[in-house]
Amino acid sequence: MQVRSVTQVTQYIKVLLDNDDELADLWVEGEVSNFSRASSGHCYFTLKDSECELRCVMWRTQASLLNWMPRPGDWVEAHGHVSVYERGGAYQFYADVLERGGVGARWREFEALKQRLQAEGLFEEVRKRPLPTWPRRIGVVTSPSGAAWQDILSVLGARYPLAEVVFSPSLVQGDGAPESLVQALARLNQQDDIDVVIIARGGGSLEDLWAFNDERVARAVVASRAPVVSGVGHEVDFTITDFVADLRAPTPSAAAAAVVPDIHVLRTQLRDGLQALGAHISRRINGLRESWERERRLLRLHDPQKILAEQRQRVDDLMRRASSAWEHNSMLRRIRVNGYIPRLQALDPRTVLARGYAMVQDGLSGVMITSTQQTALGQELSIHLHDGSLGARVTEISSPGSL
Amino acid sequence: MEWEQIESLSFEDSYARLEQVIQQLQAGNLSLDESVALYEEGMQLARHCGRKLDDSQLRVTQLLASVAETGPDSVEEC
Repeated sequence: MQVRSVTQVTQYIKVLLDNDDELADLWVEGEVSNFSRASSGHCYFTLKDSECELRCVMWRTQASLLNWMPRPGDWVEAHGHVSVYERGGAYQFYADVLERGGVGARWREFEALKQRLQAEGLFEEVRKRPLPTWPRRIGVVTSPSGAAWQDILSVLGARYPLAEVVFSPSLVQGDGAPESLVQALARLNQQDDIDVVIIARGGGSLEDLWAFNDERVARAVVASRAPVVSGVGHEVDFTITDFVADLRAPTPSAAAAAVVPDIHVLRTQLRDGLQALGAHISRRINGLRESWERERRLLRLHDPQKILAEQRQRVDDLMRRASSAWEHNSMLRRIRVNGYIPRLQALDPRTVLARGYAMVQDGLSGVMITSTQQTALGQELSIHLHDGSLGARVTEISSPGSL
Repeated sequence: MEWEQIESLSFEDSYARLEQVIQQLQAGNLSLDESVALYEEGMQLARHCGRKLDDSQLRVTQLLASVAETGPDSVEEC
């Protein structure tokens, strides 16, 4: 059996590790211990979890890019590769990126915060406020440079351009994001008449959304005077902000759509409303016309004009009958009168006079003398013949026997 | 409601009044004059709502990030 030198063994191991793809590029998370920065600028530390430890190095060039100083106890995520430090005979992790609060730690923080806020009742449905039907001023908290802001604007513009958007710009990721979100919400809260608030950011990794799991942000959402709709673009995971928001929408666009009515629906409803109005009034008028016609028919039966006309007709009728009766009568009378004429003519004294008789009157009084008894000697008489009269005086009176 | 009053209504108020008018008409129990007056008002409200929708354009106001820099009242139109 060949005997190897230490160097040979070490180099053999180093080649093995260096050729392993898995070890060449990986993220590792753990708790920092023994962190030290040498005067050279290189950083040395150990990452550990409950079971194991991993020695780590971060060279000066990468370490100088760190904007924070890891402290023992911090939970970090490190990116780099595993190789062998030949002189020390040790494998170690060569870190090139070091991030605070890896997912594991964050997840534990997240769960703890979630349980705490839930215990406070902040996720309760009864606490959630209804959204206004007709929002006039819509507060929006998001990044001015993000796609979320553009999405929200275009959805609001298309669905409900009657509203006013009050934009309160904020950082949405990075260390300053939670405080910035809190400030942005506070600025909206200082406005008097914000009807509803959208807090949003576009899609991203769970990391990117972490500010929305910050307790300060959650409490600012709860403290908002207007109801808050969250649109933190991550369909799968709920953030703490989602839990405390009055409504949770899966994306910024969905959040915008949730806070306003849709103008197209409104137009349809207006059209329907107009139709309903028209239908009502024409039904009303038709109904009235029908009953009016019914009444009119009834009325016509009792029309005084008509009654009057009928009575007039009856009067005319009577008159006609009366007058024809009258005419008949008078004709009869005329016929009867005509029958008397020859008889009257026969009685006319002048006809008698024409036959040689005379009519005698007292010359003074005109009394008809029909008897000798009415006369005395010397009495003036007037004797009428058929063609004139004579004045005479009585000279003799004789009795009938003497003639 | 008078024409001038309708013209000065917001979309929301106008829409709400329109719904009310339609309900009143539906309920009946109105004289013909009242019905016709409501109908005319409803038509005007609907037209007013439509015009409001046609004419509307989303307004955007931006709150300045730092109140201290610019004073409490400053808002900027964009």
